[in-house]
Amino acid sequence: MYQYELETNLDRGFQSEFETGVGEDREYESEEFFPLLAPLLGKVAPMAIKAIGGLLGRRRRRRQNEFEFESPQGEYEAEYEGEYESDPFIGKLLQGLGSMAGMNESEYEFEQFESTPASESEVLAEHLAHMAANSESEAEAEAFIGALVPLIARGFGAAAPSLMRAAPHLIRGAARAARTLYPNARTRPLLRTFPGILKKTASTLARQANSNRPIAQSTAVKALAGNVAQVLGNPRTTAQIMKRSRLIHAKKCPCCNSVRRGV
Amino acid sequence: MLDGETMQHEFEGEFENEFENEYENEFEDEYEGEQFGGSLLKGVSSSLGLGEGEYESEYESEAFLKQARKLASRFAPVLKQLAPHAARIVGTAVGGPGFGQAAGTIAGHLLREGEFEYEFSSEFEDEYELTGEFESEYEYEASPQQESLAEALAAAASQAESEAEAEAYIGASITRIMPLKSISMCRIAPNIVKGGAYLTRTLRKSRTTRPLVRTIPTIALRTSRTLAQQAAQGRQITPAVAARVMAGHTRKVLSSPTTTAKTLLNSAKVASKVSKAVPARERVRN
Repeated sequence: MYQYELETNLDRGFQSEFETGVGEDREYESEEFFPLLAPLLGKVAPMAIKAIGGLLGRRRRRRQNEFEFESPQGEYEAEYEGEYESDPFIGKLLQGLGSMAGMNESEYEFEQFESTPASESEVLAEHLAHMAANSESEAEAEAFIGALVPLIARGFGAAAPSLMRAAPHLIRGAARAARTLYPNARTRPLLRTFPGILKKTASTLARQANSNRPIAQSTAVKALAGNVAQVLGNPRTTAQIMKRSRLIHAKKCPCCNSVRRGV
Repeated sequence: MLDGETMQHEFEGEFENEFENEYENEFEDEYEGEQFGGSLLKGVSSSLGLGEGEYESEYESEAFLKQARKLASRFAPVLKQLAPHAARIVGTAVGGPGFGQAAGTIAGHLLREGEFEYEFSSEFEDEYELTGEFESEYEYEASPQQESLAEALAAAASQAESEAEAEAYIGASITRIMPLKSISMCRIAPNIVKGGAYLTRTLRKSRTTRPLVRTIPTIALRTSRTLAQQAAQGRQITPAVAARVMAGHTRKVLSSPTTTAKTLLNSAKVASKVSKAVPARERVRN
């Protein structure tokens, strides 16, 4: 349902504005495009957050109707039709999306994160995100997005086992969010923000794991939704992450550089 | 020359009719994915048609042999046709259309020659003697924890609601189990992920072959082990080389019913290590 909504809204609203090849990643990075990027993200970010929130909504429903039997299809539809709205955290994130346009603390954190040097696994993560953004099908894109999670978890040393325990929830959440971005060619390049989003999410969860608190499903899903809101809810942060992604990929990616050099 | 998508459609039509009815209700377990240690692996043993707790026995035990025989006889008719097709799909995904065709031809040729002919009893006994080799090979690169999580993710992929979600799990399973210590392995990892994704799509087309998604971590691990050895010998790891190696391992695992059965049983056993109950504290927090 949300895919259809996305397609129709975006196609109608941005057809003329993005005629000049906004599909190229660099367009998103330049400041003059922020006014155009903002409405695009304004449509996409709530859908991505709602898609992730569906994982929380589903649990709540199951618990409430423990002895009821429903058809699987009906259940799945309900998941996307407002059930997530019953989750207060997701509701707050959706309400707060409008106020994220300005510079705030979370953005400052992302700026710091942007200036750190890239490790080998980060370079590979950026390449996988690049592959996801350029993949032939939605399922293939999700394979690359899913592959990011263990790769990013590897970078967190002692917290990695706890992160991997939460991996299925992160994979499902990231895959659902990716599903909202992939169908439209204009939003597809935004898949390149996923290594940044997942790294920030892993960092949040690692802090919790390091303080000996177990990572519950809801915690993992909420952390992911929160970071999606922080990144896709703010055009400046999105542009910064896209820029970093492009720079790392262009300069350091062993896969693409070997092809360019003809190795 | 056929591309991956066309071949998949052909495959789908071929197997849907032939095997769908026979095992229609056998793999109905719903995947809920609420907790990694909870219901995620709920259907692991039952989807293989075996009772819960049957994996508790030792790997070398008579019970294991019995289970493997049962599974092998179930998958034998499908595997004969599936193996060359799967090898072709993987070859195409990893190395491009040309390599896929070559991989499929080689696999088909070997099958015709009878190298992997289904002779259950004798073949199984012979292979069983090589169990030690199989186990040590499996443990070569991945630590037990890496292995069990990768197998659990593959189990989740075999039971996922949608194709896209299944491919997300398989992508994660492959990067989890692959040793990404050298640049050459990092360089080839996306190709292996793509090969795994295409293989998942192929195997999920039919309910009969859906449990075979759990063989993918083994295929990926064996592939990365071979490629790592070749890289250590100074050979350049190109997508063509990776395609040939991965298609070869796909064929090797899927063409022999006994190898497939052993891989599935081992996968279920290893994945069950992460299916311990979630601590009460964690549940309360939810």
